[in-house]
Amino acid sequence: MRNWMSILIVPVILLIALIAWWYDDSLNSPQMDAQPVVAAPAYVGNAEPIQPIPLHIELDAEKVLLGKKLFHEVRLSASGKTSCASCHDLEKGGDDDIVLSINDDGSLRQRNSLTVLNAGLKHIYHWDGRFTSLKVQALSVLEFSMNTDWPAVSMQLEKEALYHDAFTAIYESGVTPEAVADALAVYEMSLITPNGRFDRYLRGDKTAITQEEKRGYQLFKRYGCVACHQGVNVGGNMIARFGVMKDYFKDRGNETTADLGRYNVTQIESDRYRFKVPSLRNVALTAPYFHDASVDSLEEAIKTMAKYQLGKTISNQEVDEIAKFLRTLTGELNGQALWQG
Amino acid sequence: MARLIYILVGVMLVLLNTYLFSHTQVNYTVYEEANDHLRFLSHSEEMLRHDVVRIRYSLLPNYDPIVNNLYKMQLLVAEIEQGPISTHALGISGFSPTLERLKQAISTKSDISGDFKESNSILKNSIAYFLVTSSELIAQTSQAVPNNAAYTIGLSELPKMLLSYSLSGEKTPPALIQNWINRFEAIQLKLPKILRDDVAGLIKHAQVIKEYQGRTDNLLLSLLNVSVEKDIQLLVQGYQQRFDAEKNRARIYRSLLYASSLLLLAYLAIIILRLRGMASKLTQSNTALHTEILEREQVEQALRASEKRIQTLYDSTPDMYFTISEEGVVLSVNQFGASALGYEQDELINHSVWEIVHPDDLLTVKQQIYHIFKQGKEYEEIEFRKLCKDGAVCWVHERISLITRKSGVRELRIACRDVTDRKRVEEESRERQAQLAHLARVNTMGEMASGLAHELNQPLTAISTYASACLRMLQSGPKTPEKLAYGLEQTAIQARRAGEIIRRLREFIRKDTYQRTIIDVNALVTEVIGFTDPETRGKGIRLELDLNNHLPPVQGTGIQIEQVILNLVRNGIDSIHLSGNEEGTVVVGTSIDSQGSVLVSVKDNGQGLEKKHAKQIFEPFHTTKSDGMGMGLSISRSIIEAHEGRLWFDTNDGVGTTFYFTIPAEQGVNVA
Repeated sequence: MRNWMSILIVPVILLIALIAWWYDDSLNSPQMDAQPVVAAPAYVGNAEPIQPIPLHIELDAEKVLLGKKLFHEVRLSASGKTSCASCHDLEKGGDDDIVLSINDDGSLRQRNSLTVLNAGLKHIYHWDGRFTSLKVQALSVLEFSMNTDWPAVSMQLEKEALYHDAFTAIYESGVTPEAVADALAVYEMSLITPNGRFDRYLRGDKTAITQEEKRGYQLFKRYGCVACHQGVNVGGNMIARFGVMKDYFKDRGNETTADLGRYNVTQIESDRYRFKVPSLRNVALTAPYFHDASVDSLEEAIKTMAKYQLGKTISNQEVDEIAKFLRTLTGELNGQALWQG
Repeated sequence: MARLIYILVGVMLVLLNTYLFSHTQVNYTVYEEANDHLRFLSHSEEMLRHDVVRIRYSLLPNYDPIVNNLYKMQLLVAEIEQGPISTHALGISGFSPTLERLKQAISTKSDISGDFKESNSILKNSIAYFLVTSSELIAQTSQAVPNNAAYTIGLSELPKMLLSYSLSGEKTPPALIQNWINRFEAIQLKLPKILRDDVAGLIKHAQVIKEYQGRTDNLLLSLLNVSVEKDIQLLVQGYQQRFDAEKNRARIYRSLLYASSLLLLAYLAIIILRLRGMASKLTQSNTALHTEILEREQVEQALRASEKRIQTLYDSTPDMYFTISEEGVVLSVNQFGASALGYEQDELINHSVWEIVHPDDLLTVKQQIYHIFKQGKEYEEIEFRKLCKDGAVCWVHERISLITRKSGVRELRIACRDVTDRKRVEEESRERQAQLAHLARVNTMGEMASGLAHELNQPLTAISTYASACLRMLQSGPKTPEKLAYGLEQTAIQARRAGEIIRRLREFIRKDTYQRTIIDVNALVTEVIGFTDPETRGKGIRLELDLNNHLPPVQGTGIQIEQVILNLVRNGIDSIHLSGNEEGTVVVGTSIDSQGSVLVSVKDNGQGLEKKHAKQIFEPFHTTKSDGMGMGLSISRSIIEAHEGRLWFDTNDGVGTTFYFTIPAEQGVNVA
């Protein structure tokens, strides 16, 4: 009896396994497919080329807090005097008011500093489009402009309980360059300036801007400015040649390396004089203008753009109207109107 | 050992099940996520294509979607390359070239899109400028313009042509556009100065449109030509294969899990059955134990009851029970045993048993007890006297059992019965018998008186004769003293003879002393002959003796045995006398029978016994003689039986009778 059972047990188990295999329902389980989730949306032909800034962005609140503290942390620099906020003063439109930025070692940078506001909404950074992510940009600035001595900085920050706790809570690695850059990037993403008057207009409030400003917007579109200054950021998402219709640098003279623009990054001849199209959000607050900070007023900048990009001299009235429109692009930071210089 | 194997098998089965179970599920979420990534990648690609085409053919561009989609695609590819859903993490190999191609394609797209954006912007810018400026110029006065018609028509027609061309997708512009441009160039110089710049701008922008139209479209085409779809599909297939493999593996594990779960169930069932078996066995043995306990209780109760009964019996039975140790110490005694001797139980227990033995019997009893222990006899009966507390004497009959305990200690268990009454009755009966025998002897003597008188008369006559002769000798003068001496001597002899007869007579009729002594049967026979001599001579009957001289001595009362022999001899004499046999002979013989007892026979050749009397002759008061009392044989038999012997008779073929009796030889006394 016992021998019979032990002989039978193996085939019986195999039989049960076979039956179970046969009746298993795994054939009905989901399959891989890479078909598009939704069909491409039908586009409205006359949609506005400028979109309002989202009122709110979901971000890791702890990282934002840590990033904010780091953004104002002077110990990140070698001299212990410079922080991110030194050149990107949030009270002054997210940049400094001076022509060219000053490095931590006191030397002058060759380009005007760009605003940090709405930086999270773009993917091209620096005038020459050198960086495509905030994190890399932050790391680079820390290294080259602030001359950060990472081992020393890590030691110093680790000692401070606030930093230590925050870093160990958020990042497993503790205080590392990557962690610092990530926190800074997340904080910068939180620096959006929604709810400007023009955004309110775009969202349907037809009285948010005046008739003059509306005419300015129409002119902005009619003169083709909007061909480059479009999207959420009113620019900032492409690279274009400075001086399409007329040679700007020949007229200005005294050409510098910085004037070469993207050529400095790619070393391609056709990239000469090509720059990132800057965002016109909060443009009223970010004077002086252009990569060489050659223009102080908005009106002058408009005239310059008309002259070199359009090849046309436009009337002062039209310039004034366009300038008025551009001033409606000033938004609110954390619900507060930005400081008007 | 078997238990260990059971536990081992169970643990192994559980481990096997756990192992199989941990492999039965595919991590669907990872594959779903991967699938989502691939779908989004595909979707982003699709959106990018839509967007670039839309942007190319719309008047007002918005490049955010392009930038965002490209950025999204980069992120998605980065996640497929690294992170938890990466091909590496899921063990899908051979896809790094594909991923490299994807990354390269996205980078290329990004580069081309940059050029495309710029080119498209310039194009759109120029179109916008053209439209605005031409309509402005139309609105201005045209009076100063020569060949006004062509100028005005050109201003309205050229923008339309350019716009339609820009939206047509044609690579080369229609010749008409160049015609109009040429015309404008011709007109330009004739125009007033105020218009000249604007028209020059118009011409320039028209050239730009012409130039950038083709360029933008080329960029658009190359952008669309860079396809990632094929590589995405490759990735999808790779994931799908891996997914299918995992599903199949999980399916096999599931199947095995069913089987092994069934095994585990079977194992548990066996365990439960075994446990139940053990439990029922336990219950059975428990029940058995319970029953046994009950039975034991019953037995114990019965035992206690029986013990109590026995104790009651032991205490109240009219027998004395003693237990004594080897040293003669009383270990226990029952209530009756103590009270019969006038003691309390406590007064006897742990006291010496010799204190209650009669001093006369003490030595004998001690010897007997000593022999029991020495020889290890298991049973013995003795009789002796005990002393009561008040000094009274009682006869006891003791049955003694030797008990050896497990510890090796030996004790005597004694059942003792008061036989004083029996002893007294025996004594009385013996006394009565002796009196009866005495009476019979006196009677016999009376019957024999004449014979005896004659017997006595002979010596007296002789004495008288010898005395007269001696007297005459003395009177007759001097005679020799020898003759006188003879006479006196004879006189003395006869006087002794007479005295002997008197003594015998006195002896015979003397009362019994019941004292048993060692006796010689032959001597008794000789003594009897002395009595019967005169009778036999007087009746002319011969008396013969046939004595065995090597008879063993016997114990008994001599006078009573003598009486029996006398009785039997006289019966023989009477029988011969009655038969009138002239040749009458009585033979008295002694011998030893087969048991070693002394056998005495008295044979006569008289008239014999009739058969009808045979049964009655030993009855009292049965007689065949006219002058007899009928007591002789009855008393004889009782005497012989008192001596533990036997009395019987035998008819000698019709000629006379032989009576026999036996008396057991005295034990321990040497025959020689």
